[in-house]
Amino acid sequence: MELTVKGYITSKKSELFSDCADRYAYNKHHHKFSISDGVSKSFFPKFWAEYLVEEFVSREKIEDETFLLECQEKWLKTITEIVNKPTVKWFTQNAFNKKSPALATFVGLQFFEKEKKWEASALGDSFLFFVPKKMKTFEDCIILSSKKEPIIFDNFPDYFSSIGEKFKGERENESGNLQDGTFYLMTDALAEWFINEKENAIGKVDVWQNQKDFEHFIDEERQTEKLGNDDSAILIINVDKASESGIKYTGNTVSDIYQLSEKQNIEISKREFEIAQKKEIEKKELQRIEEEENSKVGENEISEELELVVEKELVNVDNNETEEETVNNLKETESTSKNDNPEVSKEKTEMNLEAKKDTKGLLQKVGDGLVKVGIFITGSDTTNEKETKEIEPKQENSESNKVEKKEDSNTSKTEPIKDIKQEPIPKAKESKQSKNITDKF
Amino acid sequence: MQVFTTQNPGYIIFVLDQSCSMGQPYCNGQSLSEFASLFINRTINELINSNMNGEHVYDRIFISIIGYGANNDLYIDEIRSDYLSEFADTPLRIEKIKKKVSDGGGGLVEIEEQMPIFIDPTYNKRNVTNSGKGMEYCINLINQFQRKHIGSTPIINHITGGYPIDFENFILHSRNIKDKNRIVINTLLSQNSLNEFPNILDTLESGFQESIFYESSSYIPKNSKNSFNKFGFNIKKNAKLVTTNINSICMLFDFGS
Repeated sequence: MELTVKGYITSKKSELFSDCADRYAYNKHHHKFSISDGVSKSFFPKFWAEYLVEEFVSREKIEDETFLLECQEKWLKTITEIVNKPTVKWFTQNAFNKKSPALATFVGLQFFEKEKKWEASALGDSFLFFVPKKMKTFEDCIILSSKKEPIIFDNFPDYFSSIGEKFKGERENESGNLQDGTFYLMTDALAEWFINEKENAIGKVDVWQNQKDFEHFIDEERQTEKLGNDDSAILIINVDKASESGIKYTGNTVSDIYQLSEKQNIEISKREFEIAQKKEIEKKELQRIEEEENSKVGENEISEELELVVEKELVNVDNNETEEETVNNLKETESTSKNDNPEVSKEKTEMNLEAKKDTKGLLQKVGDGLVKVGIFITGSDTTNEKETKEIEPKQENSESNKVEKKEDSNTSKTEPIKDIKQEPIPKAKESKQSKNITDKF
Repeated sequence: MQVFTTQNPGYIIFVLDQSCSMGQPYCNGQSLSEFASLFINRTINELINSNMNGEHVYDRIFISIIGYGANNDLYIDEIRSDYLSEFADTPLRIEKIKKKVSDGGGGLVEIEEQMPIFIDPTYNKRNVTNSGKGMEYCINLINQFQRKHIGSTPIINHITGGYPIDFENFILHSRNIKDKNRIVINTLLSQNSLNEFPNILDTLESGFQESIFYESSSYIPKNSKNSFNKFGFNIKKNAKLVTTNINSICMLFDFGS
């Protein structure tokens, strides 16, 4: 008899292989195969699923009770080590203290070489399908699961629990004579798709040659929403020449979740490195542009600075400040400029000294009431006018708000609804944080 | 409801009444305000527990906590907005409480539990219940969220201890929210306890004020009915998400199996 084993696995869309809580295993010596789906809402489900599938295939014969107890011990040991780390998170510690269990569905299959028989058991919404080579319709398939008819896939499957003797549901068993055909062991999302697609599904599965084909198929079917976005795993065991004695394994391609995860991590690191490099280049380019712009802006800043000082001084003149104070202010401006870029500051200082002279003259002219200065002031006043126009509605609002706030503070809950209806409904004020929230999306 | 994943995350906005009505005494010597914060803290804690694989919390949900009535009648306080793992990693503080849990053999055993605090209770005794403003504020947030996560169904959980003084605004904005693939739940802390989700207005205490909440709430999504049933709720046809039950929100979420 010839057996060909294929196994493929993937996580939910956009999640990592390391997040996947589905597991499968097989053992060529004992001719055992298993698959399990760790319930994602439970505590460390992937360890639990892993111990169930590994422990099951590791020995030719194992008592049910011993099997579960050994898996539970292994799981508890691993979890205790994690929880005892000083960096343990509060939610991990809480779940551990509460004795939160890991839960997982399970399907186990074993071939008996001498007897030319197979036996399988299932708990939860992981499924076994056997499709005989001479199948005419999908109804000829053997379907094994502990799910009762009508089969509804939900988030409440039967399971094995990692703590206590509890397990939800009853295991279903099935056995038969080995014949040519294919066994499919799969977790819930794929099983649901398989049941819905029937013969069509078998045709699609048969063309997968490797993990890449499988992942491509998963992406496509998720896109069309024929396949649920859940962790997905499948173990395909093809039986050929069943009548011949002995069991020979040929052309097995079984993906290893840890290798896939490692490969993915390397790719992620590579991508992160590329992004970091790209960012670095962009940063340098931005710095260069900024420096260029700064050198241009520096000149403008000085003239703006001077304009401000002149404006200030004009006000000071109005307030009967002395020319001495004005000069002192100019000195202050000069010293502030010194704190800027040294080269720019040097330029600024030179310009300020010239400007100082000009300003003194300008102030003198203001005192003399010359029209030239009047033009300067008008220029700045025009800008102020624009600003004032923009601010005006806000001022109106704030006035009305003030009134309303006053009204509101006097309004009690027991006020008649009639009065409330008459009030205008002011728009809720949004703070700047709103932008911060949407940025986080 | 669709399955929430890290690529297709859900969004829940808690719109929290922090006005004068929340100062009313409630149960166990707590005020409504204290009870509401406890509800939010517990819900987020529950969401963290449902979305962690042991050590790592998946960002399958984005949470905003919006308050109205605390500082000024017109202002909305954005108390906190983050993905779930951020909440898990940085609560305001962690308080230690003693809790009795099953020992697995039919008895009870006392354990120490770390209770994360994400929000502290607060209310302003001078401010009125402007729920409409809270709902209005959500519209921009959910629009932005749905623009980025097309097809998502944000959930707005309004938690209040009083009746909206700007009820027209409240109904208007709630309707706008409900109409576009979003869900509005009204958690009424001042109501007498409801044993079921109302499918007709008569189930609620009669009165104009109750009809405001009934009108503003969404119908229970078909896909969530199974989940509610599993938790012992008898969901009638056309039942609406008006509740006094603080635990009902988590049943609306589907994070896959």
